[in-house]
Amino acid sequence: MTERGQHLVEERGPLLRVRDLRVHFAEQPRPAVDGLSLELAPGEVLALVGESGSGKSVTARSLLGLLPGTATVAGSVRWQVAGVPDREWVGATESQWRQVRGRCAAMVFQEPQTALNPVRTVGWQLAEAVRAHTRTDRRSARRRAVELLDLVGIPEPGRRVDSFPHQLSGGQKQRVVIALALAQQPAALVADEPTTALDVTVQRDILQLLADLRDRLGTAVLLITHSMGVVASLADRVQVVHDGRHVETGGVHELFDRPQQPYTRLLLSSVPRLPTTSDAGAPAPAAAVDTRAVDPREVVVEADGLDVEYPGRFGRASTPVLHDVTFAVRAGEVLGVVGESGSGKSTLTRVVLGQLPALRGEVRVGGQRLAGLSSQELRRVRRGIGVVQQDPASSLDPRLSVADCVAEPLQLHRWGGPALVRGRVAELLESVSLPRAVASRLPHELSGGQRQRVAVARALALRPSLLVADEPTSALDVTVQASVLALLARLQAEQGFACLFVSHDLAVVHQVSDRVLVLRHGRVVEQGDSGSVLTRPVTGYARELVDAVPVPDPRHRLVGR
Amino acid sequence: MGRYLLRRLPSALLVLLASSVAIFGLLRLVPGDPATTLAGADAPPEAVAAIRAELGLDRPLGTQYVTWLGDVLTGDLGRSYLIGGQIADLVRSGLVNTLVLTAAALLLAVAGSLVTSLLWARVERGPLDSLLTSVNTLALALPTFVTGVALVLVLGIVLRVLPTGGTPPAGFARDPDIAVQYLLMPAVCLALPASAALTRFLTEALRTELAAPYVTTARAAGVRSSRLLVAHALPAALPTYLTVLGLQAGGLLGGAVLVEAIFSWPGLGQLAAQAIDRRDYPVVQVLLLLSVAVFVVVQLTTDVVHAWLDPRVRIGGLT
Repeated sequence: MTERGQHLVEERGPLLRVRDLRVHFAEQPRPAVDGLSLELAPGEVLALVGESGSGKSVTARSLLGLLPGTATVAGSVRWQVAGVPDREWVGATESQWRQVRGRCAAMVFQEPQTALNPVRTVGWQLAEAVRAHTRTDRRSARRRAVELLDLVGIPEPGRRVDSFPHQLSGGQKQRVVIALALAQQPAALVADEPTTALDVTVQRDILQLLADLRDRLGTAVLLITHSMGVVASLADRVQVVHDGRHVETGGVHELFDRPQQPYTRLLLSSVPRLPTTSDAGAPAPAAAVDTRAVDPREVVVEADGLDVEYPGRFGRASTPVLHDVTFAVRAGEVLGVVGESGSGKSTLTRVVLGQLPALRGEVRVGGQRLAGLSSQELRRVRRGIGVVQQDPASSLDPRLSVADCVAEPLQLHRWGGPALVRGRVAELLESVSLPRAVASRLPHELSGGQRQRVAVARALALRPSLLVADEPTSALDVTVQASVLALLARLQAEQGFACLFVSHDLAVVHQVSDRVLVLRHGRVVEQGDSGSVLTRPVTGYARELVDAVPVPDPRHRLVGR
Repeated sequence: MGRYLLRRLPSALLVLLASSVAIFGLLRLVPGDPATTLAGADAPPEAVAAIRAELGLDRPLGTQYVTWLGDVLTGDLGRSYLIGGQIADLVRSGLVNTLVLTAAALLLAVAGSLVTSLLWARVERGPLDSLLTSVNTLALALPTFVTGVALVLVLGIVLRVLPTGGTPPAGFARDPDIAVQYLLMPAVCLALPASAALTRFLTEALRTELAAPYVTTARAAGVRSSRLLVAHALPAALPTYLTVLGLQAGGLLGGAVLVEAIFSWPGLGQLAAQAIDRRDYPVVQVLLLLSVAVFVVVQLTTDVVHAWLDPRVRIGGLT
C-alpha cells in the first residue's frame, strides 16, 4: 500500500501538504503542536499515532480551521483539490475556511453519541451538509441523504432517514456521522479516534467501512488514533507523534517490523496483545479444570444464579440486566469480566459491592451473604473490598490532597490514630511507586497514570481481600496502561487479594486474568481459563468477540481489502 | 400528543383539588372575621351572629368547603362580601386587563430574549461580554417598582410621550394604537426582569450547544456559522429555554400585582390587593384558585411543548 501511496504522490502531488505546523494555546506553557509536517496523498490512509497530549487532534482540527480562538497557528497548510483555491490556509478567515470544509475534507469524531444533533432527524442533518455548498432543493437533498445512508451501509435508508439519533445504535450513529462527512464528496476524511468509543465488533465494521469507502470512492483518510491495532488494520502509512513533535514516519509494515525510534518501539511494546490462534500452540492441559475443583485457596467472592432487574417505571415491564450469573473468585485469583456495552459488566460490580440487590440468587463476599444485611453489616463487608474505577480524574475528590485521598478509607473505618494513618499512607504511596513528594499535591496536579496509582493505593489501604477494578486502565495511554497493569500484578502477588477485573479490552484482560467470564445481554456466554477462552473460544459469540479485536500487526489485518 | 396530555391530566387535577383545600383552610386561619368587619366595630353580637348565619360562616368548615367547591364547579363563584357584586363579574373585568398585560409582557420577554441571546451568544469572552453581563444583571436585579416609577417619571411626566397609567379608555380592540401607548410602559416594566433571566439562560444554553461536538461536525461539513446558530444550536437549546419560560410565565402573574399598582391598571392584581385588605374571603379564594389554575395550565403546556420540541421525550427509547 505504501508503494501505491508513493505512486499517487508522484503522479498528482499530495492532496494535503502541511509544513512546520505550530499551534500554541493562550496560557499554555508549551505549544500543542511544535513544527509538525505531513503529507497526505489522494486515496491514502495515513495514521497519525500518538498518546494524549501528542497534539494529534489539534493537528487534525487545524487542517479544517476548527481550532478555538485561543489558539495561535503558524506554519503552512495547503490543500490541492479541484474547485478549491490553492492558497495558504493558515490565517484564513472563518468564511474562507468554509471552502475547505466538506470539499477538501470533513471530520469524523470519536463519540457518535454527541456528534449528531439530538433534536433533528438524521435526514435533516444530512441535508444540511448536502446544502452547505450547493443550492439544492429540499426534495433532492433528501434523496441525496437516502443515497448517503445507503452508501455507508445503513439498512432501510428510506425509513432511517426520518429517524432521530437516539433511535439508532452506536455503530449506526457513527455510520451517519461518516455519511455526513461524505455529503460534499470530500477528497479526504479526517477521522479523530473514529472507533475508540465503540464496541469491538462495531469497531471492526466501521474500520471495514472506511476501507471500503477508500476503495470505492478514492477518499483519503487521515486517521487519528492511539490504538496500534486500529493503525495496523487500516493504515497505509504511519506517522508517530509525541509531545507535538514528529517522531517517525513510514509504511505500515516497515514501521511495525523495524521501528527506528525508541519511542515508537516503546509504543509498540506496550500494546497488550491477544495471542492469535496460530501462536496459541497446544491446548492447555485439561487437568487444569480438575485441580481447580480441589483448589485449596479460599473463595473470596461467589455469585450463584444471580438475576438482576431494573424496575420499570409506571407499570412498564422491568428490564432484566443479569440472568443466572454464577461465578467464584478465590484468593490470589483474577477473574476478568468481558462483554460489550450493555452486557451487564458494571451492574455485576454494583451487585458485588452491595449497591444493588439481586432479584434471585445470591452473592457471598468472604462467606457472608449480602442480601438482608443491615447497613452497618454491609459497611463491615465493604471494608474488605477495594474499588478502582475507570476515570481517576473524577473518582478522586479534587479538593483533597493525595495523602488525604488515600487516608480517607482508613479514617472512615477508624483504622487507627493520625500517626498510624500517616505511616500507612506513606507505605501505600511507596507500594504504588509514587514519589513521597506527591502526598501533598492535589489530584489535578498529577498525570493520569499517577492519579490511577493513587486510586490503587486508596483501594488497597485497608488490605482488602477483594479488589473490584472497573475498566481501570481504559482512560490511560498505552505506555501508562502497561505500567499500571504491571503494578496491579505485582501488588496482587505480594498481597494475594482476589480481583474482579472488568474491561472491554480483551488483550488487557488476557494479560491480567487467570480466568475469564464473557457476558452478553446479562448472560454468561462462556467462562473458563483465560488462555483458552480468549484464544480458543468455544461459543460463537466469544469467538466473534475475539476475532474482532484488531491485532497490532499489519499482517493480520481483519479488515478485508 | 393527546395520549401524553391525558397521562398528565390526573396529576394536574389533583394539584388543583389539593390547592383548593389549602387555600380554603389557610384563609380561615388568618386572624380577623369578615362578619365583624361587615357588621362594624360597635355592632351587637346578635347582629354579627345574624351575618355569620346569613353567610354560612356558622356551619362546620367541611360543609362550608364542600358547598363552596360545588358552587365553583357549577360556575357560581359567589358574591363579594365587601367590594360588592358578583365575583364572576369582578374577575371577568380584571382578568381581561391582566391577561392583556401579561400576554404583552410575555411576548416582549420572549422576543427580547431571543434576539439578545442570538446576538450575545456569538460574542467572544472579553470586555463586551463582561459589559453585557453587567447590563443583564442590572435588568435582572432592578425591582419593578423602581423601573416602573422611573419610566413613569421620564416618559410620562418629563417627556409626556406616554400616559402615566390606567387602561385605554376605549378598550383594547377599538383603538389599537392608543391601546399600545397605554400598554407599553407597564408591559416593558413587567417584562424586563423576566426577559433578562430568559436571556441569561438562553445565551448559556446556546453557548453550550455551540460547543457541542455535533456543531463541530456540521461546521466541518461546511455549514455556515449563522445557520449553525439558528438552525442547529437554537432548536437544541429550546427545551431548556422553555422550562425557564414556564417558570417565568407563572412569575409574571405575581409581578403583575406590583405593576398594576404602579400604573393603576385595574387588573386582578389590584382586585386581589383590595380583597385581601378587606378580608373579602370569597374573592381572595377565587383569585388564588385562579392563579393556581394558571400555573397548572402553564406547566402542562410547557410539558407538552417540551415533548413536541424534544424527540427524545416524544419518541422514547430505541426502535
